Amino acid sequence: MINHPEPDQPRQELEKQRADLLEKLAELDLQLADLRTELQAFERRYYQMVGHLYVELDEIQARLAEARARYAPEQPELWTAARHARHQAQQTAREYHDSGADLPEKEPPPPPDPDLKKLFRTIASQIHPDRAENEKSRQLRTELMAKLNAAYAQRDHQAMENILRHWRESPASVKGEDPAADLERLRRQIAQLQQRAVEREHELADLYDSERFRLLQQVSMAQDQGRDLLAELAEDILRRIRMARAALDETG
Amino acid sequence: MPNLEELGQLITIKTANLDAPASNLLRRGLEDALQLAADPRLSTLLQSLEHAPDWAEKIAVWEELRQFPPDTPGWVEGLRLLIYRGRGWPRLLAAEALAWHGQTPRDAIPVLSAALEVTLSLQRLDWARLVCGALGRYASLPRSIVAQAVPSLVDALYTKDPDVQGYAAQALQRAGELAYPALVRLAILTERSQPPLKDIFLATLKTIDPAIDQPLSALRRALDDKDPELRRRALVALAEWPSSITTILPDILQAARDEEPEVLQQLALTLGRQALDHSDSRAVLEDLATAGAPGVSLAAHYALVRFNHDTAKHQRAIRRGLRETDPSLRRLAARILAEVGASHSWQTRRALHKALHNETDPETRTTLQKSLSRLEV
Repeated sequence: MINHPEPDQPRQELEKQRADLLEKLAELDLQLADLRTELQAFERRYYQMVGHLYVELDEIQARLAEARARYAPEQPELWTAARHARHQAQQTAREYHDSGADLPEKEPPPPPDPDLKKLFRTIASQIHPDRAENEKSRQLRTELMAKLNAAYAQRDHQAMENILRHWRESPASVKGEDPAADLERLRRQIAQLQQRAVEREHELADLYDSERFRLLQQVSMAQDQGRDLLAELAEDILRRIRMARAALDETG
Repeated sequence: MPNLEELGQLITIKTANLDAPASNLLRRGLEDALQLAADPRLSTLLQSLEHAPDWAEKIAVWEELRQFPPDTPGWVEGLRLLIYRGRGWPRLLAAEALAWHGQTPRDAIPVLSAALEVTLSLQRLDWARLVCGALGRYASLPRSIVAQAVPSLVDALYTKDPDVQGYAAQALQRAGELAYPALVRLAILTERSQPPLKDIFLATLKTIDPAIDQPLSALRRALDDKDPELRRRALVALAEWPSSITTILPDILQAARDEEPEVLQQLALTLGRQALDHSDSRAVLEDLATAGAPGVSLAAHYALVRFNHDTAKHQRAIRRGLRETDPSLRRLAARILAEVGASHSWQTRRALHKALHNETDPETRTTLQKSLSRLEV
């Protein structure tokens, strides 16, 4: 629920409300950045450990289905099955290729330390685009916010400090001098910030609801019980590959 | 009674947007991982729920699955995946089991809403009751999917089955103020029913607006709603209200400021039907009779006849309505003449006969015939 500010709310109260919202938004941005990084790393690991095995399994199964169809040309359902299997193999190969898991791996960033997170919150709450007083300021803030996210993802403390310095030195960081207009701007900013916070919460909910998060959750739960679920999964697919290959060899 | 297979097929069609894509390596990995991680008995049951050809076996499996504690490894995920991989019945039964334990509303509610729509259209009220009960298990309906669940739940309030009505009302409590489209129907049900159902309906009204303390205050709230259809329906309900509504006459007359002709027309019909003869009502009606759109004007003349106010003049105005170019207006004139025609019966009958003779629109002819038979009785 969005609570729109009352028109006669005192300025101090509105400023406090804005500061709280900026802090909340910075925290949500941080959670989103961390979760995205974690999910990307997990997804890459999954595709590398398991994805390529599905590609291999589907390819052998497609070849097996095609071989069976060739041996019994009088059975049209075998050709249908072969076409389905080939289509599945092509889709799996395409998805694996699109994931980029077969490209050379970049060194994953270390987990963020508390100081880095604190710095992110501080900078994000100062430069956030929803604090912009005009279009020019909004553009600069949006650009800096993108740079901040990139620097945080690389755990680049120095680059983050530079962003903050750049911001403090820019004319856009200076406040206006028309009190009435400032107050109105403040109210609008609060409404925008509330809306942004709702949007971020939805984004987070979508990520928590995604297949990759659910898979990550299963893997973590198994890990708590001393099991490596991805390794077990890979082993299980390898077993199915061996069986399919044996069947293909038998078919000739 | 429609068979269960048809019901399952319709659920499959209604929820086709949930079908999993043919190739999705993450989902596939999740499914295979569950096979490895889940309790073996659970894996067997999930397989049976999806594939058992025998109906009794499917139901037995579903009942057993509902008894599992939801923190059983693989229980939530297994049922959730069944929603996206399964067809009609497995999809519905998985969604119901998840809802029974208040789990994964974003996945289960779209299936339950679609199933409610299907069960209501096929008149399978036994399953409609079960689905409403499942929707009511959630502590709250997420705002993002309320738009999907509320319309079917409101439709469920219109069934004749008190159990379905009660369960639907309880589920609507989870939508809070977003259940406002149910205001009018809940007000009617509260007025007509006895405890404990009456208490459930009233509790639901209170979740929509805590200021509502009785059915008439719900209608007062509906009269003030931004949705013109809800305002019109509130006036329709008031037209048939079994007890006195004079206490909220000022609120009713506020509708005279409405910009929607349908609302204004119903305002006049309600004032006439309830014979709310009062100086303020008469002033409103005189104004509507002269300055309103044709349908509004006809309804206002009707109400003034009901007030016995210059009856002959207003009856003439209604009879002129039989010559309107819009057939819906001719039908309205015919219907209201049948209701008020007794005092000038011969003139009314003659006008209706003449209109019937000239009428070419089949629906209007039927209305005219019904009005004539009503007057002749």
